[in-house]
Amino acid sequence: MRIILLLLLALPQLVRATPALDPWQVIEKASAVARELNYQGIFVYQAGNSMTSVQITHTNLAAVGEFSRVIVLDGAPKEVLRQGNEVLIYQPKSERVLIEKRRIHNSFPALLPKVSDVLKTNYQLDDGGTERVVGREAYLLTLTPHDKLRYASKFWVDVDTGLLLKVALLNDKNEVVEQISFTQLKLVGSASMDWFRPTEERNKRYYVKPEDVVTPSAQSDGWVIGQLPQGFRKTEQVRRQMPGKAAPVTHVVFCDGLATVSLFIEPLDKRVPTKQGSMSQGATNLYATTVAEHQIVVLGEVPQATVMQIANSVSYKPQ
Amino acid sequence: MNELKQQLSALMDGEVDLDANPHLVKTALQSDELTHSWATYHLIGDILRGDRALKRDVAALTMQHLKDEPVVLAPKRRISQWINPQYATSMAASVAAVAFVGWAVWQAQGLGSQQPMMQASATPSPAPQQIATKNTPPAETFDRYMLAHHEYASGNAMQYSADIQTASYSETGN
Repeated sequence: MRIILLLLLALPQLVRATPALDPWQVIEKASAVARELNYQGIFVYQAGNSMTSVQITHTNLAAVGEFSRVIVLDGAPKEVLRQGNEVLIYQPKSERVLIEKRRIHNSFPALLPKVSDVLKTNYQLDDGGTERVVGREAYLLTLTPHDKLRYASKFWVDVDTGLLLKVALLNDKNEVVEQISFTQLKLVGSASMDWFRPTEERNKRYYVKPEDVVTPSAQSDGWVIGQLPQGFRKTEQVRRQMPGKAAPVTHVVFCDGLATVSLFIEPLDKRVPTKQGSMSQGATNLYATTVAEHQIVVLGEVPQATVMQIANSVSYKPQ
Repeated sequence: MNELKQQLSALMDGEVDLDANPHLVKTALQSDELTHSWATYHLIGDILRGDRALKRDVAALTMQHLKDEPVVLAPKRRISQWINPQYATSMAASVAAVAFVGWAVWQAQGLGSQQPMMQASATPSPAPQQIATKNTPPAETFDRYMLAHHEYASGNAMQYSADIQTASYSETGN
């Protein structure tokens, strides 16, 4: 009788000890959790040789939505206030504060990809056990590509809450090219909204920077995109009027389920030097060239070879 | 609830006659959530118009209304009339000046903030390297591309999270 009782008592423990971890589910949950939880903390962003500390406060008010305030702690001061996908960036200068309005979809820790068939086709996800990050136990998940056209990712997801604590991108030599990690994290209950305001600079004037005007556009205008790198497909095409540019820029977006690449096409402008070359910072690679009197710029969080392949696939065939 | 929020939003836009709708502000104060939402409309609405001070005045007046209970109903005024037209004009002018002054500052800051990483292009271009320091390429140009890209970037675009100023861009080819 006593033995049966002991077994009964131990049963929940036994069940708990063998959780069937579905890594894809962890990924799926983490994105939602990052938007739902209330937290404040500091994370460090590292790309190449540069490292920046950032303070974040995030709250989700039921029925109203997400609010966050991000303060860049190193280098030039900058604050980012976000409500939903709307973002306002404040940059205090010596005599003025510049304000820029933008829209975003993902930002750390809500950075995990949507789980899709495309993602599963191009990457393999493995359970890497648990590791300790920012004083918390985290599942380590590794997303490995099947080729060298994209980076591998490592995700560390909080066992307790499901929140993304750390993420790293690795090249084909298994070197970290870019990473973000919480170094301080405090989960809070429903907090007041007192913090949701920019630092006021009473003696400075505020200026709003002009925005791009974006309109959807499916017109090819004679532009042909040839063979895309394996696994990438076109997801967006817009016409973007950037302030200061004479002609609108055609902006095409490609995605492989995780990595995104942008292609920009615009007529050469005599007032602006033509760009020809490549640039890289952290995981972002950029390649600029010209085709048929047009400036072509391709950039994304993929290896150099991938942006070059996309740039070189662009050709012009007069209609 | 939603309708109320819309009204509050309109209120901050100066479209609703506050005197005719005193319940709006009262209700807002009674509900924490709506206060937040109201504060947010205020914050975002005024900034997008390029003037915090202006709207802060409106907010102050609104708050004054709240203190006066019952709400003073006369004389009937629209919020927009509280805004000193002269001030509004001067603010509009400063917003217009952004394009000029703002860009200059932006460009100056963008340059040289980080190590240039541009490599020589593999393209056998005979073009001379005419882009020297005297004719500095606008780093801002590439920043604009980066920013545009980040509006669509998904899964692994970390750079945006920290909102790091993109690397300055130095060109070797032309």
